Amino acid sequence: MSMWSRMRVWFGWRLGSGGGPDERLSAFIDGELDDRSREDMAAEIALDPGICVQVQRLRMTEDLAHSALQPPSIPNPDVCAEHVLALATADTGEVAAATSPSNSRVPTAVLASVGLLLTAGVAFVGLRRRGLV
Amino acid sequence: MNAPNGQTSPPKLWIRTAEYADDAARVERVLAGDQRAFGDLVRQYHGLCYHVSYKVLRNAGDAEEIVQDAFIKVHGALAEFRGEASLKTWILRIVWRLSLNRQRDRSRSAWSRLGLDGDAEADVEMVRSRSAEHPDRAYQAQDTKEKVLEAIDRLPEPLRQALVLHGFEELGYDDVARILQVPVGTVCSRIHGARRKLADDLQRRGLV
Repeated sequence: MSMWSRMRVWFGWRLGSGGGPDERLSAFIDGELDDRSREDMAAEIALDPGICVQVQRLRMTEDLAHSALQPPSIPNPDVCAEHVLALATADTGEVAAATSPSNSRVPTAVLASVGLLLTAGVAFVGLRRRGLV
Repeated sequence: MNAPNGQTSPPKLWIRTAEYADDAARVERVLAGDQRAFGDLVRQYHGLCYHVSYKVLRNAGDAEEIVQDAFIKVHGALAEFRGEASLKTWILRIVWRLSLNRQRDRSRSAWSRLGLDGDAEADVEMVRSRSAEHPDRAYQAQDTKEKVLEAIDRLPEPLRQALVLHGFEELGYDDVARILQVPVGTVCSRIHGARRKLADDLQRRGLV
């Protein structure tokens, strides 16, 4: 790359090549330009190494952002579909209860408390029969 | 690159033609009680919805829950679908709003203040699976990912939202514009602005 091209990349990048940022570069990368504009842009990139470097930099940035935001895996859509159908076809009240995390924890907590009370009660009665309490 | 007066000319964007006719027929079938049609709809958009939600929340469990809640909402509100946007963007708007609400709730929680709300388990699993063959490379990849995510978090919110929502083959600028409810030109300018800021930030960290 010539010195002029390097300077143009550095200064042109920061100063937006004498204007504002050129959004056409991103639109080009994303395949959002119409046919005519896309051809014009491709010709400009081929002729100007400075623009070519800008496009490469934007592409690299997009790739980094894209891979950083990727989920590690995608859950099975069939499981979600079945679950949603079961909930969606139930009564609205049941749907609300089932989808609310705080509500779904309440029956478990109540059951656990009742279980603890019963255990304590049985233990107390047993100890009393033996005359230990 | 620039117009003769020194101003940058707005890009001529390609607007996709949405297949609304298909959507209307599908909605009618679901409203008529066709459960298979609704199941197909969930299966078709599940991956995209999960990706969008994960990109906002960065937590697999939360994203899965949001997608389920969103489809339940979709089922309940399908009668209100007017066909002004495609079914895809209508559903994604619901996923987007629910994900932002969850993010807001989470940022107020004590877990978040302690920095314990991320998907640490998934990250550890990813590093472990990669590190079996190339431990150095796995560490480097994780380090790069963290730096990129930090840089994304430093972006101003409107730019970050456009960047996060964009990046799917199925979602063009016009879809992003409908989801964010801003003009297509604004989406274009926000995505470009986000990439430039991100590139500058990552260059300072030696990543670009």
